[in-house]
Amino acid sequence: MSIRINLDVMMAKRKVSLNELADKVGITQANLSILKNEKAKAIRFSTLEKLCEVLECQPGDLLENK
Amino acid sequence: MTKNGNLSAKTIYSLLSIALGMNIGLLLIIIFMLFSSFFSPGVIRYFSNIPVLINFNNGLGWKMQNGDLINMHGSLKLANSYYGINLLISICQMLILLGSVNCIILLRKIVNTVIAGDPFVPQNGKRLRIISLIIIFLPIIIQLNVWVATKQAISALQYPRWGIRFDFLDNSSLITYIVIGIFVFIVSEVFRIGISLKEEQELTV
Repeated sequence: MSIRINLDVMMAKRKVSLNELADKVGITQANLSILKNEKAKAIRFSTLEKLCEVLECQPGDLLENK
Repeated sequence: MTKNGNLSAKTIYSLLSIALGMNIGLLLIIIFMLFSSFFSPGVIRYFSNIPVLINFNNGLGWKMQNGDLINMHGSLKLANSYYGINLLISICQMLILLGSVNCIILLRKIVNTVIAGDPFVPQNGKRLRIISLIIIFLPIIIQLNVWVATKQAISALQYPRWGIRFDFLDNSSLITYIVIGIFVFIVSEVFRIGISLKEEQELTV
């Protein structure tokens, strides 16, 4: 897939750990690491919305087309 | 998975194990008989049946009446000295048993995944597809072999052989096998699509 996920970059910028982010977003750590390692096949809008809320960014900061 | 369901899956697993043992035993018996036939050419092989249809209405001026015997199913048993024909029949029997052993091993693996609690894995779809292909194509191959063997056996008969021919009627189960095989194939395709849907669902964050 050519869609890359820059979640780790955003997490480093905001200085949040995986555990903390999973707690705040309300998904399991396993699912979050699936997303972070680009193994996910789809992402729900609700998850994306919460991620953007917690990380205070736009969806475009998290997703990138290469 | 409930405890009850697990119990029935375990019962099926043990039944399949018994069937597997019986099939392997029969396979060994057939290999042994094939091996021993080279040392006893005069002995008649009671284990191998060559299906034939004996037709009495053979155009020899037999006037048919009500209640007359028209044809009957029978089986030819040849002496061990007919190595080629007996080899063909033995190969057929071995192919049937190897196919069923293969199917049982695959079924056992499927039941194992049921016992483990998650039968919806990609391997199960492949296993079901292999089983369906065995059910469809093995009887066709065997039918061709038996047909050749019967032709040879009939031409080897010593006495007049009017009206003795290959028994199509006795082998009408061929179409049943093909229908069952197609059914299993459809189930395997449904399974495959279901598994891919489940994977996608699981990898949705």
